[in-house]
Amino acid sequence: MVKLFAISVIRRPIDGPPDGRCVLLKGSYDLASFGFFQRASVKEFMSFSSQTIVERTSPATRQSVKEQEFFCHVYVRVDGLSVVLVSDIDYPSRVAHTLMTKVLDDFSSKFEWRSVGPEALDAYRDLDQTLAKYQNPREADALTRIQTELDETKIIMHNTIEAVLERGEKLDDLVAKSDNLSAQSKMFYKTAKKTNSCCNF
Amino acid sequence: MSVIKKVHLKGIPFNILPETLLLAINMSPIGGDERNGSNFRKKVVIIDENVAELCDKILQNLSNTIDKDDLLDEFDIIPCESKLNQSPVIHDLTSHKVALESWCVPYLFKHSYHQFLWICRKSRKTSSTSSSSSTIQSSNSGPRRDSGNIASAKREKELSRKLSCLSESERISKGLLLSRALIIINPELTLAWNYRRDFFHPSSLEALEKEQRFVSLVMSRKPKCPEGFTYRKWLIKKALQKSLVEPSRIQDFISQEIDMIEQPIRSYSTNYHAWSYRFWLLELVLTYDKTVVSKDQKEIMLDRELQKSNTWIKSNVSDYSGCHYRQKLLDCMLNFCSDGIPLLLKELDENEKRIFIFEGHESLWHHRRTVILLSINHLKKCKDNNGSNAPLSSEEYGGLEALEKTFQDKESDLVQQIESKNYNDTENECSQLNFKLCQAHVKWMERRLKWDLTKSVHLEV
Repeated sequence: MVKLFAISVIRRPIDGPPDGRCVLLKGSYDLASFGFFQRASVKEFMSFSSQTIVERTSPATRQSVKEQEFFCHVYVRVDGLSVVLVSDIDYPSRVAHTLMTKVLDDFSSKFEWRSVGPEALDAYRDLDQTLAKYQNPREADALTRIQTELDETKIIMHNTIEAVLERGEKLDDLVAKSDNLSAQSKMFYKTAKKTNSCCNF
Repeated sequence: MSVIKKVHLKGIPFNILPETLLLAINMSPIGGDERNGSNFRKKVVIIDENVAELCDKILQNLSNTIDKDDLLDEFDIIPCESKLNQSPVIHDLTSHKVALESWCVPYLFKHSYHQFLWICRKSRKTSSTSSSSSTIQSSNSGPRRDSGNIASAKREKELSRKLSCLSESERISKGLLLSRALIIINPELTLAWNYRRDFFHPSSLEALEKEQRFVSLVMSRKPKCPEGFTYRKWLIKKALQKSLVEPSRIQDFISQEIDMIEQPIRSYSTNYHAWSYRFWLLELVLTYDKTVVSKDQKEIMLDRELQKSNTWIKSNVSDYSGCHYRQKLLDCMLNFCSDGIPLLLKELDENEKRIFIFEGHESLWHHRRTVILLSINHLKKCKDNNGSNAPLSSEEYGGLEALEKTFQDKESDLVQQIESKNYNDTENECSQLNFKLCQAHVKWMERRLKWDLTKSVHLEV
């Protein structure tokens, strides 16, 4: 399936201490294809992994991280404003990256993003519209043509989230330590991989 | 915001249960690998009398919920630990979803499974007394006792004490109840499905539709369960056999079933079982007696499916099962309509567009090959009939020979485009993959169709 699940705009501190926390400014999700009882956890996990990856991506870099049947596309601008797009593996990654550039351009032209807080952005609906519109990658076709020569940054590909993590870090530990994940989401993380296998409940 | 309501049992609310009992469930000896917390099958679950009582309640609660809410469309098991004094059955009233909390599942399953086995054995014995040829069956159920396992003997005794007071009809309805709970937790259990085949006798269309909804509920959690699809087939056959559906409504009835399996198709990509079941349904209508389902109705149905599958493969590029379904549809269409060539040409055009947008997807190329093969075979067939029933559009293209040339030109066009794109963009991984797939395509055409495109295209094959 060709599908976009989430777009989130994140502020990544570049001047502050290297371990400064990222701030999730605005996120938009389309989780209708997930089970009703899993949606809350899926949402938490998407924003958790988005932030985790942005923290580990240096400025002026593009990355595409594959994790099971998902793709996390990350773009951190030189000034630290970042965007993460979660899609399924069929969504063309070049289209995804062009789309992300557009999202950041729109966002930074509308807000004083260095100082704005997530609360002030509650009424910002453009992200939802973008998410809905570009579910069909053909919509982005025109966009791609304009942008081809615009952006020369090479996209770094990774096959798992683990590959993005720093040496010695483990995803299981990060999940266990995280404050942003509820107890149920952590349980969900442990069992999620098994649901589709046969003779298991 | 939707409201999640914790369902309390009629009569005995959960808070009457001694807290220690619920604690006992959490603490009861569980062997196996603790880190691997989700794999319940490795755990040794011990069911004592108190736990059994609790399981019975949960079971009752679950069945009541399923019976009461006809609109239920999703079931799930939520991974979480037990909370005191709350039923593990979670029922969302506003959006009609039901879930079980995972802590109770191993207990519930084991408890129901033992009871269910006892009932199965019992019903087999009663049927063996009535029929003459079942001596083998009764001797089959014997050896279980001889195994000498004291625990199982004790359990057996306990179960007989509890369940032997039931009359036969009560036992059957209990068995149906248990099989339903077992199936919803673990739909790979063929024994439970078979029990339903033996004892579920739909007397009306409503009862049958209710059963269909139940299977859909099971599939909302396990969308690719093959047992479920076989059972669905059985239900449809039963409905037609017992003529529960009026002859004039057969087409509607099947369309309705096709709509119902859209959900498993959506929730699991490349769901082969679902797609082949879908084709089975369609074939059933297309081959149905002419006097019951008219040719017009069949055409409408085929058209509808063609449109639906088109929208599906537009957005699901790597779902080859979906493509396969479409290929079968196109094949049907060629036999059904007088002129399918324009549709096939259109199919190739759409496929070409997708090949450029979604670079490097092998399924697109495979689909293309099958469509070409379909067209060429169709043209051959027309030729063999001395062109007497040649497609109307062949005139437009200047005869069958020219038509084949049209297909050939289309391919060489595509190959040229891919080639030129590759020169501009050698960096991109997907384009390179697409280029390789294109080379394979050229090779295939040369081998299979004896089309030599290497002359017109400078490709190094």
